[in-house]
Amino acid sequence: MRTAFFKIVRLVIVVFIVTFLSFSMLKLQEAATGSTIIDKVAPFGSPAAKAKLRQQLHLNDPFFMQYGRWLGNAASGDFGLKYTGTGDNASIGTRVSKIVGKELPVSIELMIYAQLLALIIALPLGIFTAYKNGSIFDRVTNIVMFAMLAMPAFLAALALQIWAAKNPNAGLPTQYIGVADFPLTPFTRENLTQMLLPTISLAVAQIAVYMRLLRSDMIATLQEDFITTAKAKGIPPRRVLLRHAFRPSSLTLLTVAGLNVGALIGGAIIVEQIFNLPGIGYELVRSILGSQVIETQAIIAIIAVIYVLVNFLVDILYTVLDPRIRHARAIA
Amino acid sequence: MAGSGTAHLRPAGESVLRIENLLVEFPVGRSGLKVNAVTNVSIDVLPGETLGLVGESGCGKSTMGKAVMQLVHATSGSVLFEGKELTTLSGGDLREVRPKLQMIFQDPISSLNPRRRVRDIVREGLDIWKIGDKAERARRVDDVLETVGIDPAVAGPKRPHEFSGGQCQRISIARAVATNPKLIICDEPVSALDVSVQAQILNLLEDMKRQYGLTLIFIAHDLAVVKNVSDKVAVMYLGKLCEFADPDTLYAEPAHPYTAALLSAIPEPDPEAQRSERAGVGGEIPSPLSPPSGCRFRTRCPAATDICASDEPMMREVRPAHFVACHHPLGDITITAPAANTASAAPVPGTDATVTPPAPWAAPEVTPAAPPVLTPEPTASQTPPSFGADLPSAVPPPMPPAFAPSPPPVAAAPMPPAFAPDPAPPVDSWLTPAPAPAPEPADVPLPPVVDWTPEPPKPSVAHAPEAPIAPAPVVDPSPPPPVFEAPAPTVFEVAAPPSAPDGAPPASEVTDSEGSEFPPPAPPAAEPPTAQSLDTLLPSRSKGGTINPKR
Amino acid sequence: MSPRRRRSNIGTERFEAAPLDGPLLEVKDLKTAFKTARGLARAVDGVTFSLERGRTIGIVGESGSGKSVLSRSIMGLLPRNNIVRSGQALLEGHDLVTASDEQLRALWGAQMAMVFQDPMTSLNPVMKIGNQITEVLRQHLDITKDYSRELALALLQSVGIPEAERRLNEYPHQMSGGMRQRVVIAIAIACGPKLLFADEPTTALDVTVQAQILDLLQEQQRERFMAMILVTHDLGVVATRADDIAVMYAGRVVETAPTRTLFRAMSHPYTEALMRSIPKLAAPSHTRLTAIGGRPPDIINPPTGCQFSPRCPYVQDKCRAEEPPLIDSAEPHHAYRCWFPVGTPENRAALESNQRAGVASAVAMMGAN
Repeated sequence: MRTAFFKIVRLVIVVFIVTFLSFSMLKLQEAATGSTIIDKVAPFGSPAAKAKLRQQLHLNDPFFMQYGRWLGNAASGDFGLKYTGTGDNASIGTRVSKIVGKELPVSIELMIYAQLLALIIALPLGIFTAYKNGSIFDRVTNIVMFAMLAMPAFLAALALQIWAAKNPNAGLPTQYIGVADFPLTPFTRENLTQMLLPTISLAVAQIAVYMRLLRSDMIATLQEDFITTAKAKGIPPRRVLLRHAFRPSSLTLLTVAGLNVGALIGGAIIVEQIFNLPGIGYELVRSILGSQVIETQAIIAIIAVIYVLVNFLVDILYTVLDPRIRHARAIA
Repeated sequence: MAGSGTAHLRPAGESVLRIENLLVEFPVGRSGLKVNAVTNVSIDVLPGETLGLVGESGCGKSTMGKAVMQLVHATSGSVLFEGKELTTLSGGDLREVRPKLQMIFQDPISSLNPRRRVRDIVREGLDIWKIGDKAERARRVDDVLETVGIDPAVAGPKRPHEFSGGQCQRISIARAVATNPKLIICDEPVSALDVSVQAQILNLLEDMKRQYGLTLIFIAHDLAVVKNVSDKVAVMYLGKLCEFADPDTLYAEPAHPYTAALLSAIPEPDPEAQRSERAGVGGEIPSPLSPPSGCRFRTRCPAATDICASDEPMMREVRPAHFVACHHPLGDITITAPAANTASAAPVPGTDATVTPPAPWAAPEVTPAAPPVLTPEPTASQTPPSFGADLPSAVPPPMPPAFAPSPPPVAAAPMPPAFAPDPAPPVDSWLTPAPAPAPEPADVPLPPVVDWTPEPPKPSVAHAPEAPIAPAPVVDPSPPPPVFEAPAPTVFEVAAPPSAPDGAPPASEVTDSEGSEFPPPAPPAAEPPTAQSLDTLLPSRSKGGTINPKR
Repeated sequence: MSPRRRRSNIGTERFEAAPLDGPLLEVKDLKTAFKTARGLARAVDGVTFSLERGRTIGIVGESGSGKSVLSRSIMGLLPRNNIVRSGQALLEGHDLVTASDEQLRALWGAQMAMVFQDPMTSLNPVMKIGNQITEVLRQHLDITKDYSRELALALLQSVGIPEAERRLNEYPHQMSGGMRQRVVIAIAIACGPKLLFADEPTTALDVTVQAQILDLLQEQQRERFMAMILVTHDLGVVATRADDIAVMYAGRVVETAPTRTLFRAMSHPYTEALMRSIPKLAAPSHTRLTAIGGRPPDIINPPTGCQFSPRCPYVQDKCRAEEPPLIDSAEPHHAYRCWFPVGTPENRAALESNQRAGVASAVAMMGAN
């Protein structure tokens, strides 16, 4: 209980640091380049409009106050506006939260699909190749995985796109096609068709990472005495693998799956660009190109918090998977 | 055991190494808890002496060695090496002492740097302390390698992994000896080796000791090995010193119940030897996070009394040069080495009663099932420890109640005094805490035994009931925590009651060595001196078994 | 004569008289070799013995003698892909060497089980104790989950685990080494196997716990009338716990005899040397040990002749040229692989001639005795 408390405190601290960094990063850039947010948001605005905007953004407040206000608003879901005016209408815009609210689910969906696909393929392969360590199947799989490991998401995405373009019969869109149902309802036929290629592109490298990790951990676990004990009990191999060997072998995989969320986000940004998928990565690039500083800030902060949260969950999952960690922590 | 005190130390000027009240604690995580690795241990070593440090895992013997080497930090206490206080030495001053203090580790292969050549490994100490010039160092390396039986020309350029464990240990010894140390600490130097190699290394250590005039601290868990090499032996338990004496005395007449238990637990390679090990001590070592109060061995000690829980015993001399930290030392009566000692296993009446362990397992729900109620079979570890038998009758009749009070979980069965009222079945509490939880009607059958279940060739009434025990003083005891681990006495014999041999001979005859190769699982280490026929005893035994749970 | 002894004699007689058809286990010329880069490593090289129901055979040897491989080879637990096996291991007439995986699985846990050396690693760290026991019960017995839990509880109690109910829901790391070994034993005996392998069951344990575990094994063995193969490096462990002993050296059984016979009349120089190299409690401090010089032979390129000849104080030309077969001694059931068995005039003559010739191992013997 005490550990859980400490963990949450730690989480909160990390979230503070992460948001602070993402908030101040753009401020720093402002200081470095000399151009203010105002200049970027409303390059053609009249002094009055700029002053109004400045007022609206509380830019006259001290830095920490600005951060505090921003954080407070963000916590209640208000990330400010994405300014659409450029002149005297500078202070009008769309709520960032509204944009993000629409786009975030798309990205999360994409990442979850990719993670699921990667695991669904990697787990059985990893377990089986470990069991048949050294067999032809194992060796071939390893070579293929090496190749996949070397393939960045954008390459996979482009290759798939070209393939889809050349094989229209497959019925897979090369680009996102706007539909009324947005964000897409998960697991509908339409949704899956739309998401299939992006998911595969994003999953390719992960499959290889997960599979190789699991395989090597499984091979190590299968050498353990308790596996021999299980065998000597007359337990069938399938059960030995799944019930006895898999769980102790999955800790590294879990860690990496958590850390990999970062890679997934990076990959998602690119894949969304290529497939024109209206996700948060897509929006992030647009906001950067469009100098939408406030939106950029918001998106970066959101991504960072998601990353931290996922790894927090991974940390908790450890204790579920391995009772030794659970008890060691209970003592500490 | 578990004693403090310095009575056993020799005059300060004589010793090479003198450790006083050494305390080493390790914090556990952020919990604020501390592992009491070594608690107030004092010990000294004279020049040219080999001090054997024995004990089971967690007794702090290795930590002691490391604390002397200043590899772990002593929380308090002093380590005087040649009159110099090591615990307060600064880095530079400590470095000057280092060449005189060397250590040999348990795992010979991993304690040598795998990337370096043998010659470099052995020379390293000389290089570091700039002993001699280059040629002298090379000569010295060749010399020591040769003395440990390694050909320097052949082995010098090789790396450790090319050698077997025994050879690596020789190299380790050469490395340790190279700097011409005063004191070498050998931390389980032979426990990773095969017996045949172990003998080589032990012989080598003796040779090196003589040749180089070394003083050794020999840390090991194997009592026979320690006896072989040591001039003085210190027995440790849970961070405390129990006993300190010459090996021959200590092994022949252990005064501490723990030492006796350790000795009796050693399997002797002699089928004719009386099965003294059957009488080992029950339970396991308590956690060093929260060691028992008073004497740390009291939770497993057959002789423990109230005072053991409240007062920590101090080291005191029980015979010349034989020190023990125990409130109720064994001895005075004739005791011979456990191996040879078969006859003296005769029980001293009354002493058995002292060994009542609390019986966490006496709960009736614990009753496993068993084939229809027959004679309960005593499990081995319930047998009285032979050292219980060694207890001099002079020893204050230790108090059954001390243990007994820890009430069995059974609400309805207050058992402590239960002993007295039920004189027929043995109150030999090692045997059965209470007259043994009777077999519950077999609703929880034991897992299928072999289908043809023959009659096991087993004497079922292995331990005949004792004669009534001297009434135990009923004291209000603060029960020690039931740290005791004892096998559930719930295993029941399938066999029909064996035909009783004609008359139980007096216990003093227990020594018959010509029995079968299959001594009964739970021989009574102590038979009643009273000649009570087994025939009469049998029924009462089984009766005790059946009746008990209903109480 | 004490009642205890008397009774155990009765037990033994009854046992021997029991009309059971044939031995439980018959191992005939079993060979097991590992494929290595350097060639075949003959870990077990032609071992033959038989084991009656309810009896214990102690297999004694140093590391590399093949004793652990032997037990795993009999049980069929070695990975199939890199070993070569020949010979027979008949469990009640069924050959385990040629048995299929399915057949073996039906026997594992049910008819034969193993207790491993290190209780710290032989239990699954992420599975509750209870599940590890019920698993084997449910695998082999057609029983309900609830019932298997009852059995598991009874088993834990019968191996002497206090608070068994609570322990069922604990994980291995919450228990001490001795307790874990008790759990391992509970798992092994769960389905009432006829044959129990104990592979160095106490080596990883503290001395006082060792004795408890050995007692427990013996008690359970009697209780359930199991035959036991007790593998150990420690002559002390088998001295009082085995009916028969087989001493292994370099993959071969070099001497086999009923326990008492072996200790009374050991005939193989290796057995003798092993005994002498153990420090004895009864011997005074600083007694010089008779170490065995040299090292065990390379099992990939074994020496010709007797495997022990390079280290043997009695070695003669015949020993280096020709490997001795298992020769029966005058004692019943006692056999050894030696041309010059210890205690014979030939042996003394051999030693003397070696001492005159200055053979190091023989000269070393001069100080001994």
